[in-house]
Amino acid sequence: MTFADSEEGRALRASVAGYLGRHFPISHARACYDQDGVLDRGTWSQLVGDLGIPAFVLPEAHGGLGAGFAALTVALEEAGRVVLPEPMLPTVWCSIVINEIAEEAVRAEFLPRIASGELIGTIAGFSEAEVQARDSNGSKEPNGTVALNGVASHVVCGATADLVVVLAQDDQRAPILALVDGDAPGMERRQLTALDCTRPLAGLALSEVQPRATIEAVEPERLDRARDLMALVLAAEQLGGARAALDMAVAYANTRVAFGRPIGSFQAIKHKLARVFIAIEAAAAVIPLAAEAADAGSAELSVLAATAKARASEAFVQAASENIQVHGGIGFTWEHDAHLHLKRARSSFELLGNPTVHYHRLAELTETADR
Amino acid sequence: MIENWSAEDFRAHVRHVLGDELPQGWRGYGALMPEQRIEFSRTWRKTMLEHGFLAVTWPSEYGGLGLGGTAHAILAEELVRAGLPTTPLPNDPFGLAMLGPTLLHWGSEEQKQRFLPATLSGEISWAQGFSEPEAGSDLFGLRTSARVMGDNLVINGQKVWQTAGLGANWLFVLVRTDPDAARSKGISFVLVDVDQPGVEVRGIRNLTGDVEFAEVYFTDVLAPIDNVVGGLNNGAKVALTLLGFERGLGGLAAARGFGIELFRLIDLARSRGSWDDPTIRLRLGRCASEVQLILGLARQAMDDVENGRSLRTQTSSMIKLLTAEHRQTTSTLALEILGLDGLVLEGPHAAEWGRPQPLGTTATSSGPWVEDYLNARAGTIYGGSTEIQLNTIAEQVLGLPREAR
Repeated sequence: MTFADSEEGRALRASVAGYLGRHFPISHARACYDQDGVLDRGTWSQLVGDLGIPAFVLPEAHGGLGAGFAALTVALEEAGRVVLPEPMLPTVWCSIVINEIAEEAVRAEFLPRIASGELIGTIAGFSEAEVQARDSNGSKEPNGTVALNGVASHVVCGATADLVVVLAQDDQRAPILALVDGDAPGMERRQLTALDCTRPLAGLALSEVQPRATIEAVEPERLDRARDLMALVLAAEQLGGARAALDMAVAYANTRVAFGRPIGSFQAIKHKLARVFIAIEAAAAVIPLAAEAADAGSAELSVLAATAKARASEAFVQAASENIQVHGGIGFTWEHDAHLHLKRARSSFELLGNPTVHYHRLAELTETADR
Repeated sequence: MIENWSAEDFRAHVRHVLGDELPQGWRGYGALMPEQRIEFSRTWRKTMLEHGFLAVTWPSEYGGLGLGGTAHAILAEELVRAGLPTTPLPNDPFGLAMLGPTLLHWGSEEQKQRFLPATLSGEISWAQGFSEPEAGSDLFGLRTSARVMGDNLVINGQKVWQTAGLGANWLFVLVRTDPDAARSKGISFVLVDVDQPGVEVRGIRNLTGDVEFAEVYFTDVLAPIDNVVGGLNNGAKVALTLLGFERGLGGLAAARGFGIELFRLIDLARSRGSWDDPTIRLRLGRCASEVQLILGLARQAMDDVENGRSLRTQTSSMIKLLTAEHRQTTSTLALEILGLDGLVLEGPHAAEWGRPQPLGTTATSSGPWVEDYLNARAGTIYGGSTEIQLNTIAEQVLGLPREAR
């Protein structure tokens, strides 16, 4: 039985959903649109203290809960339902990369501070390789003698993050990870006007920035696994948003009357929403399996994570757009919540690789698989 | 004792048996020449029967192994992996996977004794008499009538779309025994001997040119009332049980079969230089993701069964709909890769019509892909059309208002 279906998994879901429903309903996300997305550190500390999500997959030795991806995906799904605007996802991403790739000393230094909510984190440079890391004095010593130069675009919560994990290239074009303070000297951060106000984006310009820590000789398999894990947790969040959008559409279809009957009684609406359901629930069947593979360290993770990200992306966009369609004119207004899901669906679609990227990867993985 | 084995023990046992029983240099059923297939299937059926693999879930007193649904799913998956038919002869699915479990649930002891061993041995070869020319999706609108005369039902009417109908010597038939009762309430499920006057069977040629299906005409055909299963006028419930078995736990084996098909598709693309085309790779990758979705749903179904929950409505509907559409997607992609060569039939006749081609089937000849493309049209129609599945999900799962009747 998957964790999500177990009594423990159901209890976790109910508890997270209940908490978010009371303290962070979708009206809280809407407030970001009306106020240009102002982050409140007090609210963030409260949220992390109460739910502990950044600690879920981190080891207990470093302040984590050791609860695994099976639990994290359930919790993040519920966060996706309410379009949670707090920087939960980028902080989780940041912690995943450090936990999976950094050496023990770096992990011991940073993970507890992320787990506690002290540090808001994000990642940069994972989509485009535009940051160069070079020795500032010609030697190869770590921690402070490497300087970063370049730009990173579309950094989630880049303007407000305390800690940025940057994927850069060294002189030999080999990957190198650098942990950088958000307000490090030489770091210019420009908040962009985002389509999705609940997922702020920034452009970063780095000029001779000195990182807190660097991880050189990054093994490709570890980087792949980190990417897969980040894609998986985003897919879980997308699933929650998709389910919420479908629930909204079904509720409306059952109550809105036209031509003397609820519009949900028309087959065109029924078939449309059944298709959305299928897209969502098929992706949903893969996510717990991917989480199990993640927790077991199984090689199956790659295929499952790519499938989950690609299919959850498509399902969320489909659910959000059909939700607007079913609502008719009212779904097109600012005041209705439908556009919050549409914009979150669109931004999630592109982050960490759109479906095309993942389908190409799946083709490669299948072609080289054991027969 | 086999009954106490874990799932993994049983899988190991199956692999061991297959390792012993398969001929040297076995490359899969698909590698056999068409003229070798029937002989192989007959011999293989005997081997399956000897090891109890034809009906693993039947109680041992009727010739089965008394194992659960999980064992059946594992066996089917291992057979597909080895390139072996899961149901060796064309009529086997109807007797072994549908009628057999239905009789175990609804049948009297006499019926079980009379029909189950004979079905297992192959002495009785079944086909399904449900659909009629005027009653397909609307099954309970059926008109074939049966009136009680003494100890018999006298049956008049017509049934259509019996898969492997020409090879059947018995039929399980839905008939209307109470014309005054509303729709589903006056229907009975009865077992009919084909070999009697009044039963006329004709083959139906489908769009591939093959005769896979048959239609049956009944003129004053006799069936003893003792052959009614589940009681007079209770046939709708019996039929629904059977249709539930038809959906069943085939998802794992199906996903394995689709995985094998994906490798053939990649081999085809490579052989024609299409692998270098990023749009083809993109579509292949999307097909691969679809196989993962089906596998995920199949494992969800197994999970329900293993944990004593009844199969969720949406799971079987989704598996049926997605597998049917997947076959259309892969076969269409194959034809597009073949291009003009997909307009010419070349290579051996396909071994399967309702499932992906088995291990060992040529990847590069057009013939099997063209047949798959044509045969895949049926998948979204039979066994509950896609439109019906969407209605079911919308009404029974999402709770949207039912269709007006």
